[in-house]
Amino acid sequence: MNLYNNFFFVAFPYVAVIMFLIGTIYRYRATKFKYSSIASQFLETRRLYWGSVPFHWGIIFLFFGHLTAFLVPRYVLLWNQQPLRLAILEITAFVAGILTFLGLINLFYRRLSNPRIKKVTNYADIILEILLLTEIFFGLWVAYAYRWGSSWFAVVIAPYLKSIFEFNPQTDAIVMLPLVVQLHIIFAFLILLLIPFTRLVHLLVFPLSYLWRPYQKVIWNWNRKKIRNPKMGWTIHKPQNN
Amino acid sequence: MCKNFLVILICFYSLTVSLNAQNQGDQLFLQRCKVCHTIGDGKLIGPDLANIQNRRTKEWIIKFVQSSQSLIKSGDSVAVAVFNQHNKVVMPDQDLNANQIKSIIEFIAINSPDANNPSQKTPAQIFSPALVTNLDIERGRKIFDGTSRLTNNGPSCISCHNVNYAGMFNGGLLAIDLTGAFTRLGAAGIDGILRNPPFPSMVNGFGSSPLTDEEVKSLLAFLYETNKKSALQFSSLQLQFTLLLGIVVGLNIVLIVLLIRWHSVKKYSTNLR
Repeated sequence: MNLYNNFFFVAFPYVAVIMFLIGTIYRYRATKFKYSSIASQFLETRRLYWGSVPFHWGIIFLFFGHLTAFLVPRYVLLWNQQPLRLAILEITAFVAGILTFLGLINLFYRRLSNPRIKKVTNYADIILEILLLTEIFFGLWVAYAYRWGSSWFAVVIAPYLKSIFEFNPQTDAIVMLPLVVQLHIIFAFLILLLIPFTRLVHLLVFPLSYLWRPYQKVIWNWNRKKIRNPKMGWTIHKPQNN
Repeated sequence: MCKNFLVILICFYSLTVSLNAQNQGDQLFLQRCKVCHTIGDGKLIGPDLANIQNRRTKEWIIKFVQSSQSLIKSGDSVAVAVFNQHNKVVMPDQDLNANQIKSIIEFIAINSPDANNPSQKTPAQIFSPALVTNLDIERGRKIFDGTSRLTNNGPSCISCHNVNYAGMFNGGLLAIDLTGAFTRLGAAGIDGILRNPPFPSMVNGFGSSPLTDEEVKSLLAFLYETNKKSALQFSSLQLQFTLLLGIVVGLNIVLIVLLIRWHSVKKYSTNLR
């Protein structure tokens, strides 16, 4: 049991963080043009909207929620001091969890069912989506079965994560947690480890500058309404952008 | 499929067993130890076990409890000395595993008097059901649900624990339900846990932000009252319903926003419009 605990809650987090750091730097230097989400919006748009938008709204809320509870646990506890505020936070987080889960199911279905998307899918995408689905499922399970996670995260998980970053891992409280909470933590580190090797790298190169850069005017110099048979040769212009 | 189901069942079983093992110290002590030992009330047939966790290592205690004679025969000087001090009365081997013995040690630790100030009276020693006032109970309730901030900024009990008490906001489910805690642990047990928490999660929360004696006293009063009325209280479904309603409303709001945005989203490539 000690071996299991030491591996998953001491060694593995460090392996994940180191792999994340080295892998990220290596991939950015070695394959800079693949350092993106490898968007498939040009291939399919309708289902993407109902998958990608709820997924991203949910995951961004959850990511920053977990980050806040880790960085300033005291203030989360202060917020939760009034039961009404605690309920509002928990309900919002649970809604975000469901949005993320449903959005990801939609994206996964799209990836497996749409022939155009299947063409640009690799094993890493499938593995990553299954891992994310499992992780979010565990998260929802924890939130439902062991309620007020926002409060006990601040008391139990935040000190553990802090101890990891202080190079003095304290796992006493973690090893006493229910199995599903432990699995949620282990899967989180596994996903962190996989970030550099999957399309998840895009979260590190979010194009924030798009928010303030001027609009770009795109000019097409052929008839855009004309439907082109992709099997025919180019009669107008061969695309020059790739 | 069948195999997977079996594996899941085994996992759940082991989880349940390991969680149960953490809470059986009190029962085991009553069944196996109380005949010959006390916690702080002096020697019986065997020694007083108060604060034994400070005098011996857990490993040593586990070995001694499982087979005291084996340890004595192996020449362990401490075991031999204990044996001689207690008139060479043989302690029977106990068929307990390490986790069960650890849970007994935990029980002893939380029920032992304060080793540093044995003369100072603890809130549990002062506590008397006859002296519990409504003010104490109300104060304890507010400390429990967090509406009263703790003096040293510790977390509220509601973060991890639930109690069934009329008008009380439902508590967390990470740790054990405290509705019947007074019967299980008594004033001394609760007091011991609150002032010297043996559980790592509680150490995280209260290690550097301990409860004051006044707060412990109020919590004892509240838990006593909760325990007394526990037969009349039922788990409230109102909160579950409110939470569910909140989630459904929240999801609907998001759905409406998504539908509004859907109108302006580009749905086809340019040459298909």
